[in-house]
Formats: sequence, structure tokens, C-alpha cells
Amino acid sequence: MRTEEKSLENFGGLIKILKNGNRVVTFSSCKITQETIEFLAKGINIDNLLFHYCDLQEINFALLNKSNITVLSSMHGNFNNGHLKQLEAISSLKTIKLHDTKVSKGAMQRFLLERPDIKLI
Amino acid sequence: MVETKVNLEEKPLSKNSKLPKYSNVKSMDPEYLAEELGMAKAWEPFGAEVEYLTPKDLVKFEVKVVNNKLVDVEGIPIDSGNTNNGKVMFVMDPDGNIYSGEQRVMEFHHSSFLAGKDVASAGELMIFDGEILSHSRRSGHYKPTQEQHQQFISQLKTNGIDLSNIPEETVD
Repeated sequence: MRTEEKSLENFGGLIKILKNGNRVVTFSSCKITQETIEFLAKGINIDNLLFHYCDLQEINFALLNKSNITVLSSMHGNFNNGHLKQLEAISSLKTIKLHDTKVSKGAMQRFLLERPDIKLI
Repeated sequence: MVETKVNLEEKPLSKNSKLPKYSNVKSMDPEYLAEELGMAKAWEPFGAEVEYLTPKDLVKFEVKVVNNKLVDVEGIPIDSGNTNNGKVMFVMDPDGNIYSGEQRVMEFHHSSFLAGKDVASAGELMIFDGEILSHSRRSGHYKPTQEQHQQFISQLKTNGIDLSNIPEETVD
């Protein structure tokens, strides 16, 4: 196992390679702290990021602004309007997928005004 | 040719038929439908293909209570210490059978055990050497109610494990 993957496991994350070759880092049912985001921001090679039923603590996704993440998804859990707002700073993002989150329709509309280039599904 | 119509609703129950133990069951979130084919809306844009167990494979995931401990099909105490998030998933079918295993995102979820069918309960356990340290009804696929979680607690009590002093994790 590569050092990068082993370190990621310490944060509860796993790497999965999709059929299209994209590398997805997945977190499931675990706490996501600022330390986790800082680790991801250090340059770990990720194409996509998926949070599945995670407990997002006081974090700042904007730290990922220099990453190459093209798809970010949050399913269930406490991902909210504030988290969505932070994603405006990530220029590489092309798609955001939200399923069963705390994000309001108004926040989604405001986000799309700022980042009309992103597909928000 | 005479067409024969059978009204299934009026068909008498056979001698072997029995009603399920729990009638308060929860269906899976319909956005996960067809996930075993990689076609669920919930998994867009990843196209995840989630494994659905056959009845034959399901048996390997059944857990029992032996000496007040939760053990697997080989009698080994369940332990979540080596899982990625320190937890194992569980589901309980309408007959009160409990199944448990480790979640693998986009591959193996709560829906995997009963192949997307209704559950009487679902959630997660932190468990050490067969002894439950905490429990929750956290399942994105099923979102069970507190009443359905209570069915799991009651079933375990019947089987010999009392969760009344074990912390229950709250869910969002």
C-alpha cells in the first residue's frame, strides 16, 4: 500500500478507481475535521471526492482551492449552505452532487450565480 | 381455451406460510433503485455498482448472540476495530434475523444484505470482541425511524443482549 493511501486511512478515507480511471477519495460515516481537509489540500492526487453520511466539523473547503478535484459529492450527513458556499473557491470543480443534505434551494441558486460553470446536481 | 384468473389476494395461506415478526418495515430510498446495475440516480455521476447478495451469500453475514456476544456465522465475535471507520453496518429483516458487515463506499452498503428489500431496522455498531459499545440507526439507504431502531434493540434483548446502558449515537 502506498504511503499516501495509508495516511489517508488514518483519516478514515479510501481511494477507489472508477471505470473512467478517475481516482475518488471516499469517506464514510466518519468525522471530517480541518486536519482532514488540510491533508487533502497537501497535494494528494484526487480527481473526485465523496462524503457519505459524514459528520463535517468546523472545516473550510476553500483550502482545496489549489487541488485538481473535478467532482465533489456529499450524500446524507450535515453538509450545509455554508459548506456549499466554501466550494465557490475551488476553481477546478466541474460537478457538485448533493443527495439528502442540509443545503437549501436558495443557497444552490446563489451558488450558481457565483459559479455558473459548475454543474450542480 | 379457457382463461383462468387467479386472485392472489384471496389465495389461502399454505401450511408453511407465516407472517413476518415485524410489520413496521422501511423501504430503501428510491433514488438508490437499480444501484446494483450501476444506474441509481443517487450515485450519479460515479455510476457505482453496489453489490446485492444472493440468499446463499447472505447466510455468511448472519450474526447470532452467543454468551451475550454478537458472533459471526463461524462463531467469531464481531469486532469493528479493524474497519476503516471503526464501525460495522447491520440490518434486521422482517423476521428478526440480523446481518452485519463492513461498509465499502460505492460497493457494499446497507442495501447489499437484503438486495434492496425492506428492512425492520438498519444502522451501525461500534463493537469490540462481540460487545456493543455504541449503536445508531444511521443508514442513508433506509433512514430507519426510532421505532424501527427500537425493534432492533428489542430483538437483541430477546436474544440476550441488553442495550439499555449502551450509548446510542444520534443521527442527522
